[in-house]
Formats: sequence, C-alpha cells, structure tokens
Amino acid sequence: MAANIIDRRRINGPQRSVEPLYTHVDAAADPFASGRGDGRALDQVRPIFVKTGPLSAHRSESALSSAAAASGAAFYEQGKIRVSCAVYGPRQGRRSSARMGSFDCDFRYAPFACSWKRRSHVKGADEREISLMLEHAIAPAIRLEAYPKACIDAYVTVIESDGKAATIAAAINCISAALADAGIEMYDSVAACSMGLTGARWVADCAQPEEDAASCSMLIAYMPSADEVTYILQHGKTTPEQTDQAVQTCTNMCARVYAVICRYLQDSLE
Amino acid sequence: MTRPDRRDAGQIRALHCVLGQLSRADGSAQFAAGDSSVLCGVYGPVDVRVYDEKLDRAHIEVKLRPATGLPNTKDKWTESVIRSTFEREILCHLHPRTLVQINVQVRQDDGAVEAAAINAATLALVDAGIPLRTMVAAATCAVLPGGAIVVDPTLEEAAGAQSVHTFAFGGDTAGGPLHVDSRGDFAMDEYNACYDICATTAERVLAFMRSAVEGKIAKEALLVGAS
Amino acid sequence: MANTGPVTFAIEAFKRIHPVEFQRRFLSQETRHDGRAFGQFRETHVAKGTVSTAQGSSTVRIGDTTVVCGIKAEVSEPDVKTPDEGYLVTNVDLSPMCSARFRAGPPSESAQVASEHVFRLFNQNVVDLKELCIESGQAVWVLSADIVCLRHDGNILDAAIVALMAALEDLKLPQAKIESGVVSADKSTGRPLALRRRLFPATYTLVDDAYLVADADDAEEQLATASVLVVVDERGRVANVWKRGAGPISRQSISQCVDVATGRVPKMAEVLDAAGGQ
Repeated sequence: MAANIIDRRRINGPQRSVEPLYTHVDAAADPFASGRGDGRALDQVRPIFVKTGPLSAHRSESALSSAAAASGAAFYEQGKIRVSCAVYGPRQGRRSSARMGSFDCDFRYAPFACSWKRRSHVKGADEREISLMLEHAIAPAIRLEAYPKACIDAYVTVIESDGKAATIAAAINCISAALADAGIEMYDSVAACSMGLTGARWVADCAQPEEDAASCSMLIAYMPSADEVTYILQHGKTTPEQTDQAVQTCTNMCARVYAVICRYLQDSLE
Repeated sequence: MTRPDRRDAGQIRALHCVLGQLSRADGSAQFAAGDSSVLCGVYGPVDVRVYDEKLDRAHIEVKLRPATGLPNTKDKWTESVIRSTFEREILCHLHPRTLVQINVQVRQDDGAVEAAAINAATLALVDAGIPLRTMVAAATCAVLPGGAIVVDPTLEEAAGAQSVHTFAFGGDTAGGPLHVDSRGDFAMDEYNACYDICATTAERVLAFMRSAVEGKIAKEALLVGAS
Repeated sequence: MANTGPVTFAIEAFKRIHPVEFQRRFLSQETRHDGRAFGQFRETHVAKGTVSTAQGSSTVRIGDTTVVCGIKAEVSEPDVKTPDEGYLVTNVDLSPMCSARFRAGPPSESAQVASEHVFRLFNQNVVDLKELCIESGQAVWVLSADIVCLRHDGNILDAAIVALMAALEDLKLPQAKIESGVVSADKSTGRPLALRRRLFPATYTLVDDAYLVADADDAEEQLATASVLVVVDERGRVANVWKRGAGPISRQSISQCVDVATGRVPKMAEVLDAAGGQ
C-alpha cells in the first residue's frame, strides 16, 4: 500500500495504486502434497539455460563490436527465473591508491519481475542487501590482486523471479558466466544453489509457492574445483544436523550447476 | 470559418518581443504569441564543467522551467528538442571548451509553446552575440476534426485537434526543416499542407524577429552616437 | 609526404581511434559497417507473453538491441477531473546493464525523452483510457508499462514502441467488480484490451550530414546529426513524424521515409501477429 513516490524524471501514475483482490486463487494447499508441482525430484534443479555475449543468434564478430558494449554479458534462465547481467572492467577504479581491485555489484528487479505488486523504481532495501550479498559471494573467486587501482562492475537485472533464494542463486550463476565472458581472471567460477526445508525434507531450488510453504531456506555459493564455499545464507531454524546435511546436498547440486555452465562456456568458445 | 478568438484559420496571434530585458544574462529575449509567452536568458560562452567539456566545440545546455510546478519529463522532452535544434545552428567550434547555457522560462502556456520557446531562444542567442549559422524560427499548426487547418493553435484548439504539427526552419525554408514534430492521426496530404503553412508562417515570424533585432541595434547605435 | 610506408592499423583500433573515418570508408562505398544497404532494416523479432509475473509482456529484438516490456495492472481511484478514465504509465529504463553510455541512478535525459515520447504516442492515441474504467468515479485500472532495455545497440525508440504495442496486445485484464469499496478480480477470466490503432515505427538516421540510413546501430548513432522517427498505423495513417537534430534532411526524404514505413506495415504486422501469446 506504499504510496508511489513522485519522481519528476519519470512518467508517474496516480499517487496510490493497489493490486485488486484476486478471487479464485489457486488453492494454496501444501505444494508438496502430491510430489512437486512441476514433477521434479526433490533434489532436482530447474532446467538451466545460459548465454553469454549479445542476445542475438549469431554472435557479431568481436572486432566490430560496439565501443559501448559491456566487457562481458550473460543471460541466464532457470525455469521461469530470468536474469540478465553485464560486466564492465577492469576499468579505472574510484580509489586510485588501492593495491587490490574492487568488485561492485548492482542488483535490481525489473518493476514487473515479482508476482505480487509492481515494484517501485526506487531501489529497495532488499535490492541493496542482495547487491552486497552478490559482492560477497563472487569477490573471493576473482583475482582482485591482479587488478590494482581498477574496479570491476556487474549490473544485474531480474526480468522474472520465481522464489527469492533461487533468484539470488541464479544471479550469482549469471554473474559468474558474465565474468568469464569478460575474461576476468578468476580462481574458479562460483556456482550457487538454493534449498527449502519442508517438514524434515530439503527441497532443491524452490519456486515461489514452494518457498512460501517452506520453513527454512538455504543458499550456498560454492567453487567446485577449489572445493570452497564462498557464501552461505540461511533463513529459518534447523537443527545443526539438518544444516550439515543441507550444505552437503547443496554443494553437490552446485557442482552439477557448475558443470552445466562450464559446458556452455566451453561450447561458446568453439 | 471563425475560431474561438475570432481569428482566421491562417492568422497567427499577435507577436510581441522584448530583447535584453534581463540585466544579468549575456542575452535575453521575451517572445509572446497571444497568451503564450516565453522568456529566455542565454549565458555564454562561459566556463564549462570538466565532465561536459568538449575539446573542439562549445557544449550547449538547455534548461526549461514550466509556467507552474517543477520540470517533469515533458519539459525534458522540450529541452532536448531545443538543444538538438540549436546544437548545429550555433557555431560551436568557434568557442571550444566553453558552455552556452540557454535558460527558458515559460511564462504562460496557451498552445504552441515549443515554437515560442525556439523563437525566444533564437532572439536571446542573437542578443547574446553568440555566432549562429542562421536564425531559427518555428511555427505550429493543427488539423481540426473537420479537416480544417488552423495556424498557431491555442491550448484549447490543440487539445481537440486531430493532429498537431510543429516545424522549425532556418533562414532559408527551402533547405528543409530543422525540426519536425507532427503527432496525432493524419494523412501525408495534411502533413504537406501543414508544412507549407508553417513554412510561410515561419518566414513571417523570422521577418518579425529580424526587425525586432534591427530595431534594438538601431536604438543602441543612437545611444552610442549621443554619448 | 613522410617516407614511411602506409600506416597499418588493426581494424578494431582504427574503429576506436577514428570512428568517423571508419564509418566514412563504408558509407562512401554505398554500404555500412555491418554489411547492410542504406535502406535496410535489421530483422525484428517479437515474442509475446514472455514474463509470467506481468499481465501483459513482450520481448523485442532488433539486431542486438533487446528490450523487455512488462505491464502490471493495478487498481486506483480515478482523477476527479476524469472519473471514468484509467491511467497508462510508460517508462523506458536505460540502465548501465544495456550500454556503457548510461550511468546508474536516476533516468538519464535520453531515457526521460524516450519515456515521454512513447507515453505521448500511446496515451489516448492507442489506449482508450475509458476502457480502463472499472466503476466510474470509484475504481480504474492503472497500466504500468515498464520497458527495460537489456542490450542497447541503437534505435531504442523503435524497439520500445514495438515492445509496448506487443505487450498491450498480449495484455489480459481480469474481470473486475467493485463491492463495498473493495475491487475483486477473477484471475481466470481475462479480456484483451481493445486498442484504437496499431503503431509501426521506423527510424532513419542521418550519419555524418550526408548519408541517410535506416535503423542505425549504436556506432552510427554516435555520428548522427539528425534522425527521423516515423510512426504509421495499419490503415496507412501517420501517427508521428519526429525529426530530431538540425542536420539537413530534405522534405522529400522525410516523405520517402514515411512511404517506406507505410510499405513495411504488412510485414511488421505479420511479425507482430506471429508472435502469438502464451
């Protein structure tokens, strides 16, 4: 019900607008009552599609690419989730005396990306928080000492989201692919995966209705070749054993996601 | 056909202009057509921010303030139209690494205010002594639902019109238009008719502006001669 | 003349150091740096219903320029002056994600101008605001159309107009009724919005004061001294002729642009129809 903030640099609608009260909403019973809605196994990640570079079918010759084009770009789909990312850099940093390069991330939802009310153009607290999370999850993988005085910027936009934790995981995977496309030196690509706890079972890669029904969500960013975890985020309560189990399963799934992304990146070179 | 303000279809509203009204600006002009009135102040060439600095020419900046309220996207749109129209007509390369700032204040909006803003900007630039390739004049006309074409429409006429056409020309109207904005629902015949009408109107407006500038220079010459 | 041999450049270096000269070499040979003829448009790809979280959506690609348009339908009170009219809100978002030319933060001038131009083209001209009325004086629909650019490679206005047109055609407004001040809507029943006309854009750009090219890409736009946007509808009527920049484009050339744009309508209509929906 928040009032739309009037920004004179945009076309504005009325001061206040709300979603209508939807009747005939799909019966919000337990989404896990009869297996998963889309027939996936409990530890199955939604199908992934990655594409680096421009979105057109034929990659234009790099020699003739536009001067304003990003250093690297990627488009990532995971089920209904769609994320687009552009990476610039290494380019001149803001702190000229820094011995290490810096990695900055700007995460945004498109105004229509969420299944509920339209998002305001004003950057929300959650978007700032996720930007920071992405920086923390990815930065350990980049050889920042190789880029003194420089900065690397990643701009991520979510076109469609379906499950918050899964969307963040998708954003991490998308940035990894874009960094590889930009030729940034990295120790390893970061792959991320999310899970939700329903009852006593961990369910991989929850869609929005599943996430709403889950009592706990877990997000892990992991570097499979180095076998190092770069980021863990858990919401909700579990026993330590359950967390252990989740970390184990999640890292396994991350390895599978990683394989998919790497296979794509290899194919794109040929 | 008579119009609400008893003008003929091809008749523009009474033009009025004052040059050098603002004492602190390098050049200024007020241009009014009937109840539409625009005040324009030009500063330049002045210091430019490092970010905007261009090595081979002057940077042109246009700021437009509406008659009421704060500037919004509509005013930004008009700003961009004025800037893109004058960017080429100002001899920018004569003043590299400087800024020419065109400040437009709409005093009263009663239709055809974009044309009035362009005309006011021309006069203010001339008054400031900024070298121009040519003097720019603009005119607006509207096609009413019946198919009648009225020149220099008021806000009321434009709101009910089928299409509204604004053209800006340099000193030689045969050289093609500098700026065109035709919008609404129209056929090319109507567009061409409006083009012709606006071209002749722009010539008349230009003649008026020229005599205003000449009048001011003559007055200044008299003052210099007297002292 | 210097007695050294001819200076050789890698093509990329040449393009970056002398962008004007680079383009001139092609244009003076009656061709363009991407191999197109002057009058040749890039292929337009349209997909409707690409975002399930929006009530109407589309993805449009013109060459490498890619935009996504999503329309969210919400409910609000109408303006007191127009009690039976809804709202259409169109915003074009040009973030640093789509091109290095844009900065993060509030909308740049080009984004504001694009938003405003698209808004003027569609508000009342395409979308009849009275169609968005739920209950006069009490509740109306607000259509928030956000056009997000994913890759900017020139001609963003054409892409935005096609995307908004496709998203509006894809839009399904749920049946809504108002009971004691609460608007309820049935998600399962959607009616398409009746549109007044179908708009088809075409942009011509004058490069280096001499060459009028269709559908310029980013590199060509950087050297543009003028451009003409022509928007026509399916009945052969013109909705907009907008010449920006004072570069010399003759009256005849503008008329020719309108003719070409009109001639392109059947093909573009086919592309828009074939886009289907989900």
